[in-house]
Amino acid sequence: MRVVEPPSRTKAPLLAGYNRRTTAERFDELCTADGSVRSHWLPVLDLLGSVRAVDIESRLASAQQHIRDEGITYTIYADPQGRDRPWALDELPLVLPEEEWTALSYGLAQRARLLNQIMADVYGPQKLLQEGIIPPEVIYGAGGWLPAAFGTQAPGGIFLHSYAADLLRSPDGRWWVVGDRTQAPSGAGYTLENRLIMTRAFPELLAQMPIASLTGFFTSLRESLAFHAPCGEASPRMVVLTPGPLNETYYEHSLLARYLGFPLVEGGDLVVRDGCVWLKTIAGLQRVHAILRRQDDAYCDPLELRSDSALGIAGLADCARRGTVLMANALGAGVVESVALQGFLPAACRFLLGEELALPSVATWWCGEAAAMDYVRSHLDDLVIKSVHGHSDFSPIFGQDLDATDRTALLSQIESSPDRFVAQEWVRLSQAPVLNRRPGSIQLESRSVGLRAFAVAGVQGYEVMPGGLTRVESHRDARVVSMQRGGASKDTWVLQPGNNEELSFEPKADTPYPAIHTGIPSRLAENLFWMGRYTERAEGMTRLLRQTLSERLHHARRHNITALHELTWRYGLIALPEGETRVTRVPVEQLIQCATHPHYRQGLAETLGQLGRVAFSLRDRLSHDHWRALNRLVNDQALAENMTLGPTLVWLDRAVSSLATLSGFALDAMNRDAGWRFLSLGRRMERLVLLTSALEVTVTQLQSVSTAGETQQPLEWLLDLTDSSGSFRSQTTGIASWPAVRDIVLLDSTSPRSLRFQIDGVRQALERLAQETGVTLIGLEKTSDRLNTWEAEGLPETPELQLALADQRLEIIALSDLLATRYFSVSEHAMTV
Amino acid sequence: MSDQKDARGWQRYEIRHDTEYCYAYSVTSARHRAHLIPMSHADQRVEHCTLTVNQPLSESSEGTDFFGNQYREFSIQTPHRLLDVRVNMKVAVRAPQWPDASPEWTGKSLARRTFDPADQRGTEFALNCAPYLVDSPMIPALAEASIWARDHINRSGAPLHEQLLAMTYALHQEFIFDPDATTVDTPLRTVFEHKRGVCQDFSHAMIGALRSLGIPARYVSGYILTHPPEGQPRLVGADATHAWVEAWCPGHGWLGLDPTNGKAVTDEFVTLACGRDFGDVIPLRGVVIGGGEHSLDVSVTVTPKSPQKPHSRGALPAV
Repeated sequence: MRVVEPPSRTKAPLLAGYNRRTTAERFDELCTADGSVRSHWLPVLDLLGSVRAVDIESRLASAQQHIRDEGITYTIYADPQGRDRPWALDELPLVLPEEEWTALSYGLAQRARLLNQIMADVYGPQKLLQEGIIPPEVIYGAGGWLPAAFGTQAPGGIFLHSYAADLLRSPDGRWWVVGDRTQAPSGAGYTLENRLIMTRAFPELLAQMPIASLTGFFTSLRESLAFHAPCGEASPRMVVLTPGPLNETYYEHSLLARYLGFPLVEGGDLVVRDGCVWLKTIAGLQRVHAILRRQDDAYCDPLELRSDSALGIAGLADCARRGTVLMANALGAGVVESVALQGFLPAACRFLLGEELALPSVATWWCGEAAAMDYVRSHLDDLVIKSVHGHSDFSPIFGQDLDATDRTALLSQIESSPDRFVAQEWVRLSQAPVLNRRPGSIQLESRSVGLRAFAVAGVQGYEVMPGGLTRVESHRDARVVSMQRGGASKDTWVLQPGNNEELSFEPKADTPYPAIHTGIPSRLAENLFWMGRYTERAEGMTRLLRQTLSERLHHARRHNITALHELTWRYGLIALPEGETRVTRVPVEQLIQCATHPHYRQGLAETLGQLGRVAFSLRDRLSHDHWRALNRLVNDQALAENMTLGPTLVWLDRAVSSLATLSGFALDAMNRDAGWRFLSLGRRMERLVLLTSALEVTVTQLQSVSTAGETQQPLEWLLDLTDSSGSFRSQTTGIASWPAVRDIVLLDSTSPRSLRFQIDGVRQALERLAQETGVTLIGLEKTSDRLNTWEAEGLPETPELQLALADQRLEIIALSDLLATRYFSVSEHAMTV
Repeated sequence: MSDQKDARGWQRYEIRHDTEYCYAYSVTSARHRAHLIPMSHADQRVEHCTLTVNQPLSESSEGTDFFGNQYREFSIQTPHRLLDVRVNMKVAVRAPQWPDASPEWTGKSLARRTFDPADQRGTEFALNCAPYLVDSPMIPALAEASIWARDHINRSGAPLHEQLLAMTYALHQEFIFDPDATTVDTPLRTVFEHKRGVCQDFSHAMIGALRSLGIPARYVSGYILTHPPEGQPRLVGADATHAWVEAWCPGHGWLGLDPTNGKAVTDEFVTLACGRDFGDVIPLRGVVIGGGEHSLDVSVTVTPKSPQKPHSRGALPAV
């Protein structure tokens, strides 16, 4: 049972620094006008009060660590740090009581229904314009109007599948909509992520409080898309369309894709044929029935919309119009984002739905109306002036900030083209507590907040997510909240007695789940292939660097050039001075830089960076632990300038173990489907490249030495490098003679580091792929035949062996190209003419 | 005015419009969208029109866009280095009615913000004119356009149609026709800055100026009959696509104005498509895979079919 405590009780230590309360100027989420805590906050404060301050600190620290480990990011375009800023979360949630939420949620669902009807009307019969309910300039002039969407046959009549509203609360405690997000609303995924972080940091709070669950929202979205997808009797194939890893909310796109169980695709992965949209997979083209897009209208089709967009799919607008593909949301959805529309929603709601608008917008005047313009002239001090174009350069101006000259200038700017401006009442944002960390103590402070709430078109009608993304401004008394301006976020807890969050990251097993389709997307296959190659390349480099540098450590006085140095050059780790074609100097400095320097060309840091990027795009395929291990490795602190030999060797040891852990994940934690085979092919082929280079160097060096003692050393490094010392010792008496070593490295079909083993592995993978995809590709035939001959008749003489190895390297490169043309072919570049 | 009493004669034209893309290497896949099929309307009858492509089409579809134009979308999956899209049409055109009178106009915006649903003019405006009164992607609001427009109207009042024609003539006089000054992507601001360009630029400038005054204005693509020098034969391919402007005149409808030539539209103009700006009526565009560098060659031949008689400009005032 829930204990309701008297409102007079305050949490003295926590609230000591919190002196804000509700006034005529501002609403305070935590305290009423007399300073007492609102009853729905009491359980939260109680529980917080019962945890020791040091514990809270360590939990907060671990929550922030989790954000970094998971690589939860959000891009601030204006930030010089640019890409991948860690997600900012204030761990104290915004708490809302059930009764308040019920009213809000009704209003949000009605508003979504209304905006959907407006879209259906303005891109169809246009009754709203004919009857004079909405002035036509408000529709045509708002920047979001898309002529290409006119006549759209939206499957199921649904244009708006996913809707977000930015809400704020006025001093009297009422909620108002300040902006509608309808093109590709972001934030629902981050909201889910916030809840997951909170569940980790404060499990007992979430277990003890009746917090409404978020998962139903995503289930509804998936079910509704599957229900309306124009697929006839077939099972629907649905995808999440992302502009790519450079987008500010890419992290969320991959999270959504994983949570919904849809492939995450980019424009280049889709193609239009026969009036329908298809996904390029390794088994050929497969029909796509629904696209959850995270890409703005104008960038969706370079043939009909913006021709400078490299992100779109030529012909998509035509398919969307004909309704052969479900677009969530429909193209042209930007038209109802217009702030100019807000003042006309009450009338449109009566006209289209026969209902009163339950959740109003902040009072909005479209200056195109003469009466509105008069009002703006006389009330400028209380208004915020905005452009009707959401994406215009004109930033909102607060009337009260202006002196007489600026006022006149602004008014004459508005009067010269009144259609382009709206005035909104300036509503003082409500305040909520945030955690203020000081060493040894945690206190509450107040900050301005706004709430982004979400609705989806469920099978039975619009459903509202019980919760949302609370956004906190970065400083006190701020007048707007925006993540792009560097604010933070909060989890939002809607208290629903009897309800409880049971959050699992993976969709529940009993939820209807779209049938698994055969044929993985080509881009996925290509990225997995490269992930395999980069992982193996990083491992090969690390081993080679470790060996070369420790040789230096063990033989500090020896300055002779060894085969290892030769190999570091052949493998591209070091560069030679201009004009030289052999290694003539022991390159210790270069090797240390190669192992650690963040900007060393083709060094370990660069390879790990490439690995990190390709893994980021595969985020939805990797397990949490896999991703975390990888994220830690590629962001290791040792990747810095000016490292010395000792720490470098420690780092290389650490890197070898981390890479072995990654191999473990690839073996144990990934399904052995066609995708896995590409990962494994990538690894095998990269390993073959290193192995072949090592053998070539060895054979060359054996030619130039004569005595038995001298052959000893190069052969031992070869065993070490290929991790074959163990298997060598178990099979022989311990003297590394060339015939014994070459048998193991070349022909031992039981050693994972032998040529034979890898080539057999590649050929088997290709056979399996041919069965799975119907696309046949044969590779490494000559090399394989040659190995058979060698097994039967013994190895050839050195010159012939050298030639054979060089030939093999070419065969591996050729196979890589063949894979690209047969299975990937997404890198082909489209051009507008 | 009924057709029997209408003294305006029909001029017949045969038009051939070739678009040829030549690529440095093979295009493996292409999708194109064409606005090359003219529509019939009161003063234009399309008697015949075929669009042929020199490559096998893997799919082809057509439809009518928001602006009322016919479009065709087609794709090619056969590797090709040369694409030739040829349109042959026979069209009959008569000179549009030029109004004898129109309301006195002093520079007031024609925009109608609110109206009674029973008010036909209001509804007509909301449905037909409003899309052409606001900013469009290639014609943003510009102070330069607004200033130019305000310098060229008679605020003390004159019939709107006369003021429109005067402005058309003024633009023709002040802007210089110069094919080397601009490309299809040159921003309108640059056009106003240098006052040079081709028909696309003249039309965008005029539309921007009209919209800044609150007069709905739209972009028209099409063909214009050119006259070979005295005594010389008409050369195949010597003509070009043309562009002009239509402005809304209450009580009359759309008036065709050609700022490039400084005159009203006559029966020497054949309309292909109309839209907010060039971007809505691009004759042929495409997205291709492969191809590399390419050249684009457009050739147009307009051949008059009716016997050429001395040109009657009907009720048109001399300009």
